[in-house]
Amino acid sequence: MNTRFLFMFLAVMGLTLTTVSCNSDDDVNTIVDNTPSKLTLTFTGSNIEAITTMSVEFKETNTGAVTTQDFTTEPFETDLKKGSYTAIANGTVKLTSGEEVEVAGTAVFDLTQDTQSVNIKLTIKAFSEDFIIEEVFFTGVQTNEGKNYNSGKYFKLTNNTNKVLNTGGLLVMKSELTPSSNHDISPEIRATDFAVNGVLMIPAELGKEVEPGDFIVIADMAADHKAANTPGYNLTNADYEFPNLENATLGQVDNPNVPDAVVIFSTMNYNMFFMNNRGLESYAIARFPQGETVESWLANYKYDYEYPNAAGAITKKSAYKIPNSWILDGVNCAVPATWEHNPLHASIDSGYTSCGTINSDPERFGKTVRRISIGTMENGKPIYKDTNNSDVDFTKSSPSSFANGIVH
Amino acid sequence: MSANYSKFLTFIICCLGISTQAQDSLSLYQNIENQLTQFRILNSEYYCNPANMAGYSTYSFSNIGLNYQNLNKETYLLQEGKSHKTFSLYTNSYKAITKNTTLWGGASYTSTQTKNVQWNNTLDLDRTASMVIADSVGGTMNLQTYRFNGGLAKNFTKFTLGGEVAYNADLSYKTQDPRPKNVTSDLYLKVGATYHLNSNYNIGLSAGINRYIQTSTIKFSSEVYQNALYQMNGLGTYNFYFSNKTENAFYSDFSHHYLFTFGTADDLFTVTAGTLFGTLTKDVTIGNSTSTGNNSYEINRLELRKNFASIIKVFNLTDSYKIGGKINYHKTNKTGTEVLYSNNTGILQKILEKENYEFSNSELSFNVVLQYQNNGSTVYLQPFYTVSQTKESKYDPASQQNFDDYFAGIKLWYLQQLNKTNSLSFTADIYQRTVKKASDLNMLTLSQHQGINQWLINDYNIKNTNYKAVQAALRYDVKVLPKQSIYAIFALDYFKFSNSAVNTQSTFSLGITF
Repeated sequence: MNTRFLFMFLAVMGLTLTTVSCNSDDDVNTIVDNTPSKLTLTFTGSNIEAITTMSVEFKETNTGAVTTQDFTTEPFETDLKKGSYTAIANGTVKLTSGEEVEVAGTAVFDLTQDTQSVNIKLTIKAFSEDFIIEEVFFTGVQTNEGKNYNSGKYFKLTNNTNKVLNTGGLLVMKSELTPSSNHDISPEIRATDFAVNGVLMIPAELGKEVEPGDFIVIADMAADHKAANTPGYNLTNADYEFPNLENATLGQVDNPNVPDAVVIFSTMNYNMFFMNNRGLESYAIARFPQGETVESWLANYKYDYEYPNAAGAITKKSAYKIPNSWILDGVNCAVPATWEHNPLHASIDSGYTSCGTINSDPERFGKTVRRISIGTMENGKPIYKDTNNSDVDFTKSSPSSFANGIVH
Repeated sequence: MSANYSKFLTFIICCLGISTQAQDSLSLYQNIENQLTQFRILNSEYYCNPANMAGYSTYSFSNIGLNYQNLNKETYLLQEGKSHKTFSLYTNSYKAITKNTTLWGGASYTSTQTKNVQWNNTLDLDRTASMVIADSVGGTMNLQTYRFNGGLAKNFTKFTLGGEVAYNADLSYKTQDPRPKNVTSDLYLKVGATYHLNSNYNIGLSAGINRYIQTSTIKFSSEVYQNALYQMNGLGTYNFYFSNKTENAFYSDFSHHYLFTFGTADDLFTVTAGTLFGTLTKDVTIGNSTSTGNNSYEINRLELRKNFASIIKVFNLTDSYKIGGKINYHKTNKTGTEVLYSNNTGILQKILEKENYEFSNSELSFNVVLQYQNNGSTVYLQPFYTVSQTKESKYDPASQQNFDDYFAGIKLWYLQQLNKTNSLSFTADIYQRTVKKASDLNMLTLSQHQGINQWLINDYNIKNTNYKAVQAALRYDVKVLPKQSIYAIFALDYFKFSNSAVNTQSTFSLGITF
């Protein structure tokens, strides 16, 4: 009995020591201190002679910490804590032609060394003498019982120029890529094209003249969405609508008094153009160039791409693309708590705007993203800020401009 | 759950069955005095070496009982909850099987409902604190706890060997969004030996391991109102990338400890010193698990180090009087490492590890012990003074809170035999906590998240508040059979904070000892 007990004791002691020694066999990891790294930035771009002003926003992936640094003189150096970064640059440069223009660029990099260099490729910001996106209402509303109300969303496009514009042929697009998932996509086309999964078009024959400072509303359903139990907005006077009558669960109906924008492409079932109610997508407006038609675009601008997924396999997808040169204006929307990248190139929008601060933020319903007014035109209409940086151009979680209906 | 409960009852009944012969022929007073003697509590560190359990009790004893507890707090740490109700069923036994072999064990089932738990969806805060999954809503946490332990010590001519195994399992859940489901498994194994230097002194060594895992999964019933979930990093900071993306965590802890003991055969002089090393890791998963891909990521690691020592000396002045003292020292140090990832290549990759959190606590306690005992009554007094230092730091962003406290009070125990079949005992801990020194609130770095800031400030204010405490219990024992007696205990704990808040806890227990 005693011998057996002693044997058992030694066996258990042996197990203890064995487990302890196995535990000390962990992987070797690199522990870093909190000493910042010395980061040197270079800015490159076509025909750029000199950097006049440059502001760079660095966002660290793991902490969410945002650091903004202004650079005026070379060398462009800054101290930055180690981590994984997305950098967004906005500034002005002098071109070799002598002209001074606004530029933007983005870069992603992992800062792991004590000294490191990063290049940010700059692109001249594209501004058009055409419509801009003044407001997007993508969150929708909920009924007083807390149920989703699927209709009542809209785009508000404004003539921010001093000339009369026609709406005929306008395209309204939403992005294929989401700002909350940053995959290693191939081919990466953001510098030249915008990948889209839904496109609305105002047919040329339905075009209408819009005076400087005035706006049009493209609603999913031109109806009064304000009811006893639904805190929506009265969109009866919308200029265009795009109700989906194929998906009966949406409960949308056509308003015969309002012309319809046409969904010329959608990856969604029932050919829906349905906005994400968290705002996890980007929007842009464009026009086909002379000679381009819906048919020719569909025939020539398919975008097949792929990326490695978390499982180690390759995910393949198909969408369509719109060249950045066709785009009149664009806005990246995202949820700050989940933002990883912008689907639109920095030359169109170098920032992003949002409704709510966290994923599925219950406070977002009824709120819009709306461009900031910076003055008035000669006719008394507002002039809106347009620097191609929606972080500063838009009011986040803004009240709707149609709380009292559509009033011009 | 009902099946588990039935199995547990069966186990308890089995324990009862093997221990019905545990009671020796003792008077009620002798039995209760033996079970409640404060010197055993004084020597609790010494008995961590299972070989020393051979001298744990002069007599064999067993208990089986029910316990109900109701706790209400006016001031509380949000992560611990405002109030709880606890029901438990427990049994324990200590038995000298032969002259040289001692067996002990216990089992318990506890059901706890804790209300208003906020900023915490995780169990076992003493292990997981600073790395919990937090949310601003909170709710009522329901917890089922199962505990089992058993040990054996055997005397040989020149030495004693001992071993003990303990297993704890918890299951907790909430019934409103966010709905965590936490499952823990906690296995302890320790062995020890003492060598009898001569007839009076024993020198011993002990070693043990602990393996702990906790799986936390959080679900939402509502697809519309899904509150943010934060993977916390300590002092109100959280992992920005994995928060809101992940609704789960897997905690894995492994620790090993080593103990040196030295004492006299009567345990009136004991010295204990030990150290513990542990590593707790936290992994989260993104997306669906696949057979080929890795979607599990280690995001935090906590290195734990504990050192402790105690020395006790008790003198028998006369047959009735004992006087003694105890000095006790504990130090705990936790170092937190954050693992940084990059998503710049499309595949999430680990790029760095960063030591970014530290928690330390040390306690030095001085105790004087006085006991008077005559035929049928025992009076025990233990004045004490404890100095405690706690420091919690985050390096990036720089943030910290430090508290130097002292606890001064007295512990009382009075046991009175009323007659051969009845006895009454009373225990009381009366003490006060005084915060001698605290870091300035401004040393805490607040974020743009107002809810988390309020949580941090509430935490700081409570730790920076003095309080007075009275923890009293009255126990009545009545002998119903020659070898069995029943007991009832009513206990009331009262905490009065300097901000006028009052926390109270009432406990009622009913049991059989035999």
